[in-house]
Amino acid sequence: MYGLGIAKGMMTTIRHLARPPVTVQFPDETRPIPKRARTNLVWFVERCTGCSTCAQACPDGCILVQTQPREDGSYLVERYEIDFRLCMYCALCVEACPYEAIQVGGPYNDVVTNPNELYRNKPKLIELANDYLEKNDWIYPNGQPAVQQSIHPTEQRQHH
Amino acid sequence: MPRDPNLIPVLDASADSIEADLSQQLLLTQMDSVLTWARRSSLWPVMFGLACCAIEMIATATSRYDIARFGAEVFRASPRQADLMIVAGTVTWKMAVPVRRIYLQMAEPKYVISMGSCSNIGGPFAHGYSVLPGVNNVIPVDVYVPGCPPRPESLLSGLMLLQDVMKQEGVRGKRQRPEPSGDFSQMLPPDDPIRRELESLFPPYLSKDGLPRDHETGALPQDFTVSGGGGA
Repeated sequence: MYGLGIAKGMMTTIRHLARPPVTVQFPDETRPIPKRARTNLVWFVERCTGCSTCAQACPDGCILVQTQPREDGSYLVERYEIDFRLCMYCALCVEACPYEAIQVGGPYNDVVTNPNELYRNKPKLIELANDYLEKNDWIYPNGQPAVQQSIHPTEQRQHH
Repeated sequence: MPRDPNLIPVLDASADSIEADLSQQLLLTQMDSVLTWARRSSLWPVMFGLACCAIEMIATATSRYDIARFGAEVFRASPRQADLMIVAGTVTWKMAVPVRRIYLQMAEPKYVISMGSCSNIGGPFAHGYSVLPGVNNVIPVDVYVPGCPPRPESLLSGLMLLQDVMKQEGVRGKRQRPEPSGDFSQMLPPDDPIRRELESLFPPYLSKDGLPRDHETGALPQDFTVSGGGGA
């Protein structure tokens, strides 16, 4: 029948007219992030043993770990720094870490005007991890509850 | 608009002069904010992508993220009509020359967003021979968006941060971003043709052979003499 195709096509158009808009009003609402999305890295000092497996797994070499042995044989993590200017968010360090001390799940909108702010040292990373835990009811990104449900001082958070 | 200090009358205690003074300033402040609002609500980017980050930039322009909500949807094919340059992707040394040239062709006021790790500092190629260690060596950058590639939300955050920066700077405020030095002696060999071309795009804009040629005709100035050449 002549015109059937046009009627069908118009039906599609009318259906699209009635459909709600797909736009996500970003600053006010956010899309749910997929569970395995590779967003910013969060480093939890209380889970870290200072084995530097993450630094060896990093293809860019953007993780710096400096440790000092304690008397009981464990390591004190003196420096832990991630260069987020260089990081390519491959999450190979997350796969490598045997203690899940470094995990994905951080904010993805850390835009800056000074690129050197993206070089994050240990106090800054601890601050970011605390922010993450406070926002997420003291539950790690992998679903486990946090060891200590308070703001951890820098040195007492060490893993033993 | 800053007022000429010579024009400011000495304030006396009478209410008249203070009100007159205030009304003058109020008009100028309002104009300033209106101009800044207009400028930051119609940031037209250059249609310009270098690598995989450009795909994410295109996704930002689609209806789900809709960069048009921020007035930045008109991707212009000509740098003359654009205000914003989104450097999306790996900037190789060979591409650095066109990037610098497109930036110079844009009309002031112009803004730059560096998108992704590659253009921020070189990303996974930072220690390589062929990739620029950060696009801020070639053009001044206002906002850095980390990611590999950044999510569309990250680019939108970068755009909003840039709008905040524009709001703070105002129409006549000083630009906070550092200018590149144009010194490539630590990165490229001295007789490298790309280095010569890049240096010709920095002040004092000498031509590729290092002589002060005219940009249109390539002619040397009338009073120019080659020194130390041992002429005829």
